[in-house]
Amino acid sequence: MIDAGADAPTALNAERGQPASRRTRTLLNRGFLLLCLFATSMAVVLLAILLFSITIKGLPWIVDFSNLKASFVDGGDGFAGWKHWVRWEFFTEYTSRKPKDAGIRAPLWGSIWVCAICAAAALPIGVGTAIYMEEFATSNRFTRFIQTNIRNLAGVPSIVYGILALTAFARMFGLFGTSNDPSLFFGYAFHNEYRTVAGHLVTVPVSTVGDRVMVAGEDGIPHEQVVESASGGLRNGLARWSIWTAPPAPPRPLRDGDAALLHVIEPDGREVVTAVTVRVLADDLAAPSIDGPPATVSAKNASSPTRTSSTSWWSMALPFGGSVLAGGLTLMLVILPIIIISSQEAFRAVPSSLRQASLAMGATTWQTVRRVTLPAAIPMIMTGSILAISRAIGEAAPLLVLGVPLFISDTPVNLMSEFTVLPLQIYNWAGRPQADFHAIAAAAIIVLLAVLLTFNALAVIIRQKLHTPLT
Amino acid sequence: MAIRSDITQQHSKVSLNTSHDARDHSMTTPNSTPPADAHGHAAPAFAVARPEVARPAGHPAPGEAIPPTAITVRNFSSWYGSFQALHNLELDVPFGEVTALIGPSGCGKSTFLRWMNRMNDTIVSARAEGTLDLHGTDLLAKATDVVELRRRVGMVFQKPNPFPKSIHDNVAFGPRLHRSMSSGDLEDLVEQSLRAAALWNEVKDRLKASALGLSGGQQQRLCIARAIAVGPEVLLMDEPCSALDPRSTAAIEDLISQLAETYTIVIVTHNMQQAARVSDRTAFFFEGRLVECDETERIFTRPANKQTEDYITGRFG
Repeated sequence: MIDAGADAPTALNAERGQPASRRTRTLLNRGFLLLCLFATSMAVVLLAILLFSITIKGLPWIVDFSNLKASFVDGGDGFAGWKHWVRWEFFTEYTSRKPKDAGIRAPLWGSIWVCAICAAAALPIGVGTAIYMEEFATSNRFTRFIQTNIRNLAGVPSIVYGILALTAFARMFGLFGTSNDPSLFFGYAFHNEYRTVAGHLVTVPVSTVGDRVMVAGEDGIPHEQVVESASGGLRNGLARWSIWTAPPAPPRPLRDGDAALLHVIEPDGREVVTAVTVRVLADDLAAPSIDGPPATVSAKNASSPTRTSSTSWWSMALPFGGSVLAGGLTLMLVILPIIIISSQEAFRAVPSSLRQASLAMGATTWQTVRRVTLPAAIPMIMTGSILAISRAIGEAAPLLVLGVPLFISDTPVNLMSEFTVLPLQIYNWAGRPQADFHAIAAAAIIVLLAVLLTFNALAVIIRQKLHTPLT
Repeated sequence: MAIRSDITQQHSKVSLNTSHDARDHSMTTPNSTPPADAHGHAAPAFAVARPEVARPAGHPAPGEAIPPTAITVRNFSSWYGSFQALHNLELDVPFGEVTALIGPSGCGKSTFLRWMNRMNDTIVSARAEGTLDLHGTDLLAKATDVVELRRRVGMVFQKPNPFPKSIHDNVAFGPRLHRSMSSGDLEDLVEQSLRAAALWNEVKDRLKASALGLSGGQQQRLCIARAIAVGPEVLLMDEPCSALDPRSTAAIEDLISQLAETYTIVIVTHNMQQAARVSDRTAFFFEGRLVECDETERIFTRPANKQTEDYITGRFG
């Protein structure tokens, strides 16, 4: 190469390359191929290890292997008895301090609720935004600004949305008091809870100023009375719905003559509720327990009742606090940019000739969207949305910020219910020292993965089946 | 029709040495064998098939000597941003006749066509000045109801663009937009529109089948049926045959001749034989200006302008 000279044409120089270079290149090619294969197999191997270890650890908590063995090896009912193979209690039990008794009932229902709220909120907003951006808006500085923002939002870490949601939904910027003391709510009935000497529960409904309540008069005949002051009006307010504009009065001592509900747990576990009139004994400790028809109940600890509340399915309060509604809206924030972008792609994929045809026949833009572009775009919108929602199911971080409790022994009954979700339950179990909890965490992971795979499969099926050619 | 075939023959003489391929010459012969016959059925009697609801008002009586003007164009200019696409057009589109717009690519004829039903509204940078008048309706006025205008001025596009719906729903699309009809009336209208577009016999047994299963030519006739189902006064056609094979082209041209009895038709075409075959009047556009507009026979035999002659004889464009 030394003799080539500076002025020789480059093409000639290339021809005079060293003979060894071909072998080097072949080796390099092979080496790079091996490197790529290694990289690819790393992903596959890691996934295989993950699935293997999780299955080994978690499957015994979902599948009852002894019954499975009994069905086949020991001459049982074979496939007919498949219901006995599953440890249903893992799905129907709440979490427990003992791994054997722990189940995923609360997080499973929590995930379903949060997911449904998230989808119900994110789909209309996301698709609506996409319709505006693609079908109505003209390209100007404002819409380009929005577009840039949506793309940026899609890249924001989900925990940041958690902090936003904590301020905007859980606390509502402090505009409506705190979540423990909300300033605007309806669908709640408040009770003061007392224990009787006999250990029974007495609840006295809390009423507020302006409520008309039935009060037992001195002559023993009940009559209606308007509550005049919040602190003194703890009478038998009927548990009817009303918009409360002031916080309910604080708990107060039980008084003689309070109308109350007596809860008695029968030996067979039934709870019998009876309307009673309270008679408070002067000496708590000497108070006899009730017997006979419970027209009157003697209570102790009358000075320290517990405030409880009962809700209906339509109960609502501002701010949302750590409710399932706040959780769903938080995840909506996380997936909204994804849904908007995928929906926009779906509308862009609709050939503009179809729009032109519709407009040229005198359709308005909305008629064109409603009858032409939206029907054509729906399969792709569904695909993108399902993938986005499956991401929402797997999110833990933003809900953790929201202050979702980790130990829940109830399923949600309304939008204001407390909840937990599968990823948080897994996080909680995996963080405990006992190995058995790690195993049920693995079992919960199996359930979570199964749900996610189902969603992804659904998206693929919709993409395959519903995608009709458009031109 | 006799005059037209004469023109066509003359035109085929002058264009022998042009780039137009043999396909077009073969197209001149089917005048002896009508294309509708080539499809194995006779074209339905059009006047019978026209739905009452869709009949344009004020159609000139047969035998009227000078047809009234459907669209009056005065001092009409159009811009895309700072680029002026059309310069001071002066043109009368006569009622109940076929007007062909010819000219090389980029001469503004499609732009002009798209102004006549305000499809250019979808292009942000497009604007126009001057007068564009359809029976006393100022087409360019801000107050003009574009939706109603587009019902009165239908459009057929270059590429067949049926909706991914059934054949029936494609034709019913327009009527459903504008008014609620009983299903019986709608069925009648669909049938009459399809008959008018010479498509009924081919699709009457599969109205519920997807329109995308039709051939290109059938799709284009479906698009024409769809356009006339809303009862327009004017039909705009933007190179309706350029994506079709010769047989389908012949069918569409035959259809245009039939539709000309009922509608005012403005057709943009790159195919000069087509212009000669189907149109009553021809307007030649060049670089955004209207060079010449006259009876088709005169344009293709004794054009007044040298540029027109050069273009139709294939010396440029």
